[in-house]
Amino acid sequence: MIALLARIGAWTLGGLAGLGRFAAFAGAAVTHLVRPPFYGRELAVALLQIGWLSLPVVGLTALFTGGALALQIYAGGNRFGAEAVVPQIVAIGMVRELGPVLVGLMVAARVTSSIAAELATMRVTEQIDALVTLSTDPMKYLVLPRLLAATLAVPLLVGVGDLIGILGGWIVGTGRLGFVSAAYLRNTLDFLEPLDWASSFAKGAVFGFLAALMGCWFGMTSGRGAMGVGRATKGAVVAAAVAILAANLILTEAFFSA
Amino acid sequence: MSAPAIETRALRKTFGDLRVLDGIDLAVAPGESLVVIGGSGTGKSVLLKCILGLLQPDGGTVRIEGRSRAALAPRDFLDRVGMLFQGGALFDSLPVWQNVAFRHLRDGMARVEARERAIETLGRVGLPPRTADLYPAELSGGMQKRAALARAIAAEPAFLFCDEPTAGLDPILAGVINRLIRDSVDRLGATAITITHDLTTVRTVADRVALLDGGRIRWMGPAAAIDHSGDAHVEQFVAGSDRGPISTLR
Repeated sequence: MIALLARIGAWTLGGLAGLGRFAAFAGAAVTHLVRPPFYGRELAVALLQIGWLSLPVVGLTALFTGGALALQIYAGGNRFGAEAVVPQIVAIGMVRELGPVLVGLMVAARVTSSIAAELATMRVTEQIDALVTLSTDPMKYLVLPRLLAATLAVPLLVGVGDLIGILGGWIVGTGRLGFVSAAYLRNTLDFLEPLDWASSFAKGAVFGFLAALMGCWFGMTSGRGAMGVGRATKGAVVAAAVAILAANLILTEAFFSA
Repeated sequence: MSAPAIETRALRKTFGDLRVLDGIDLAVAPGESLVVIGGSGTGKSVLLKCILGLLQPDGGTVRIEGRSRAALAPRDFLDRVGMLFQGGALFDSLPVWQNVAFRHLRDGMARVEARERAIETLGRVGLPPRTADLYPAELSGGMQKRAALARAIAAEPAFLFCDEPTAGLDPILAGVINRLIRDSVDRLGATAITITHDLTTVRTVADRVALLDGGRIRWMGPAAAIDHSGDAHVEQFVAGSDRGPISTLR
């Protein structure tokens, strides 16, 4: 019994210590935002990798989801004569929830994994030590550009995802469900409010930050060898996905609680 | 008498229950090339990383030119350091010339000038200009080592550290790398510490040799004395024997 309690205590203390190290890492990363030097070229590369090159996967995900959402709302609304609200519900569903969450999760899958694997490999092959011996702070050179790029790029990706999701709903609505194009678009535009867009972009920024932070944390603290890289990558994606979904609940509550 | 360029006193480092460094006392004179030898897993790389600040020692001190390294701003020391890692540790997202010119580019040198200097440094380690635009993954192991050495010496460091510089290379390429390190030390007048278990490296690169075993320096002497040291640890190491004071179980 004592041994079990000791093990639980050690596990708890280890968990808290890890949480403390993670918080210190996140805090240090944020403080580097206001402390030079800054590596503009690294930021540009990160923006390209995280933002521009994520557009295809984000676009396709949003397009298919918007279309499927339109079909579901039509079928569900049909049960109580509310199938006419498809444009409004697709719009609000995409902009408030599905756009940010799906983009966040796709970024976690594509970007978090990539960051974690890249940094973990750099850790394993001593490239991060090499940076230090070249008197270059890895937090500034590797972590900050990725965090900043994700925080800036993911809201834009979310905006694009929202629009393409609505487009997916419009394609299905007008092509399959018999909606009139002009009426569909007018209903969509009339229904959305500035707060909907604001919440979407804010969620994008938070999700982008979390996705990059998890990738950087797990990559920079990776264990040795191929197994270390694999664990870092898996851990980063899982942590990012869970953090994004948890943050989504908190932000939805903050923006839309009555 | 001037202070040693690099000095460690009672340096200790443990990992869990494993005591890797157990009171290391070393002094390297300015311009001297010290080679630290010892079996695999005896803490040679840990010693180097503690001196560089990549690992935090559990006890003891590291002094650079008489000043505590802990009291120095990281850049005050590291800006004068060149380090050749065992695996090269070239940045695989950058072409070779940007690896070599990394410090120059970071410090704002024009890219055209930085590239020219990188190609010149690559030439010094026997790599042709065409390698400048290749990525590290496109180079052979020996070429990667030479490119990594070019990066280490590009900024003409006052301190040169080499971790197993000939690991994984054939004897001829190993000889080339050893000669390049010795030439770099002579040309730059740098203080050098090289970690190796390769006796050819010892004979080419070292002014002085220290043997590390069981977390302690067991023997230290001039490179010329390694074949008749009279020390059981050194004799076992040189002979490559499994019998002697150096344990084969690590």
